[in-house]
Amino acid sequence: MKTDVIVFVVYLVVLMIIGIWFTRKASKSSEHYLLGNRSIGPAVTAMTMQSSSMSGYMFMGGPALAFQHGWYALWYAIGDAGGAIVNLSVLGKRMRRLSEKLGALSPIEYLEKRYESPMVRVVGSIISIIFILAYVFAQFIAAGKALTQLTGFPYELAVVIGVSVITIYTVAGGYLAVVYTDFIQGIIMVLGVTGIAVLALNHIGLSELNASLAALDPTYLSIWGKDLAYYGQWGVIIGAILIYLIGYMGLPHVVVRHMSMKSTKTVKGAILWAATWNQLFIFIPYILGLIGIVLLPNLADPEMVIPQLTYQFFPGFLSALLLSAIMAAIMSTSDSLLMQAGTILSRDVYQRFINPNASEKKAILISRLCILAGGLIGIVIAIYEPPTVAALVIFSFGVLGNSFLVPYVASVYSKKANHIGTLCAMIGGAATNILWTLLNLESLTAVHPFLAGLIVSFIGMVIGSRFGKGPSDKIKQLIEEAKGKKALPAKIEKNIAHELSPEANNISEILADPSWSR
Amino acid sequence: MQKFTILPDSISKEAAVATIHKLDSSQPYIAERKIYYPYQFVSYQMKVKALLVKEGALGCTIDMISGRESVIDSKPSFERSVLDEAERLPAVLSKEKAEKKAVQFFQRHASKKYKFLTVPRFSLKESQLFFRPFWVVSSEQNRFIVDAVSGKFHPL
Repeated sequence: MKTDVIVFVVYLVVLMIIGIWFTRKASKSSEHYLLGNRSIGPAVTAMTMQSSSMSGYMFMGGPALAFQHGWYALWYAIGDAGGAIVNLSVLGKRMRRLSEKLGALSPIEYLEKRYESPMVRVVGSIISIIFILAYVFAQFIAAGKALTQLTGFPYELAVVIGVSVITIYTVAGGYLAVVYTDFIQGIIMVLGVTGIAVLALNHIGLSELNASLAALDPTYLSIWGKDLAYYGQWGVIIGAILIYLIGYMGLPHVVVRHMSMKSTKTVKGAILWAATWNQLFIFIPYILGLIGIVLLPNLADPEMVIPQLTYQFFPGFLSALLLSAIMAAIMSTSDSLLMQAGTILSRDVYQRFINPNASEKKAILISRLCILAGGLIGIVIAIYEPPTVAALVIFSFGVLGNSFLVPYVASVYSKKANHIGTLCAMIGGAATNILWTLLNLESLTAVHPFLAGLIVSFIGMVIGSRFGKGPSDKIKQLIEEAKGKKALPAKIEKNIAHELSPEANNISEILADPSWSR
Repeated sequence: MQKFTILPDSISKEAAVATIHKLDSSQPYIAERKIYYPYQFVSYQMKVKALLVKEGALGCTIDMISGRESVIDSKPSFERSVLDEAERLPAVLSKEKAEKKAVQFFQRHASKKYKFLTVPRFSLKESQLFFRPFWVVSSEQNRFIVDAVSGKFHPL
């Protein structure tokens, strides 16, 4: 057996042992109330969040963009570096307050309660399932490519093996303390990629890199892309920056973090860690893509820049370890995303609207079938029509952002935004991005699909909200309260136990009711 | 008078007022009344069929008015007490609805940790309605609830 494969297998076994150890420790300390472990600090939370959300794209998609387009690709990185901060500043506090007042637990449930319409939940669920699956497919393709590098197997075989390993890892690792294994993987990935960058930059400094790029093709240095492909196309540039700068506000699985803030200190700390980590890390994969142009001139698949550079600069064992970490991170991202999609379908759609009296057993069966179908379609797409990881991630990220960004932002800033407006914004935004991408309208109009989707979604919300019933007085009141005007002394504000919000709302209502108050 | 299951309070009327007054000494606060808020404590035995079978107990409380679920780390200790109708908030949810919400909540939680091929099975261990005491503390301008068990507070 190839040494790399042995390293990979040993790596997975070690991860599993760490997982079992942490799980045993956690369950002992909380008297077998297994899910009660809430002692994870901001650094671990941040690292877990970043490593799982960025695995496939940052190691394959981002560098490939830079490899193909030169410095232009950095527009995406610039947006991404500020994404977490914008997300928190615009939505963070208001959305947490409003979701607390609405008593909403999931991001789709939040939309349903805010816009007072079950239809919003159905449409939101369907869009999020489809594009969460697209994310998973991107991870499958990335897994296949990483495994090809690791084992030397043909890509098709590597995809089948990769997805099989995901299944085995999921079954065997059913009790893994995922958070800690993700944390360890995150550390290895960051150290590994930073290590490659240091070694590569030692080999070819930034000035030398730019000189070499200019010698190959001066347009690599241009902000307009290779061959000045996007020359003067500000619509494309703005879209490239905005997609990751504000797009996060439209991702249900990111937005949910605002709602699940238990300790505001932890979440603020986590965001601070994540934002700092972003500044340090986000640019590196893109720079490695640029280095790849010079050092790997004959590279056939641009998405293999990091795996190839790993083997070039690290001794065999370390490169196998790094690739194993990437592969394991891709796997842990795929299985949880798949599971999320299955849960949304069975709970938010099937159990709620199709068969409300379905037994738990039936709901689980539906959930499994959905996941299985999603997995199989993913394998077929990954083998027969594999788009690039970058294209798939940008596409699914863009559609999710275009569907949900305007509804989430309007939910806390507008008292006029209603369910018709939201449905128009979600459907209009998603449809525009899909059509813009499929029909390649970007080259015709010089407008990025994300920007086009955003504009249509915004117009949809404004016009749609003029029709149908407006938000109820209760919702308007809650939006006003969510602004968080400080009416109380600062010391009191600081010490409010937000988890008591539903109780406070209910007690307020009951005390105000003359028929109860005695 | 009917007896109910309650969580024993550890914060006295004076301590509740002091909690708020310590943070805002600009105005006098008084404890208006005590209110008992309804919850359902639900505990399930969970079994996961992975390579190694995993078993464990899970507990949560369901807010019987708004239906919100909260995980708890250990079973609370209750006591029985007579409650006046005027100090007890009526439950909106039924016992069955609360138990269903609890199992769905565990499913959601567990499925995040235990992945899709190892969907856990749940069997009901315990289900009990109980009331948690809150002090309503107010001044001329502000009104708060103070949790009589933990001392945490929230404005009304």
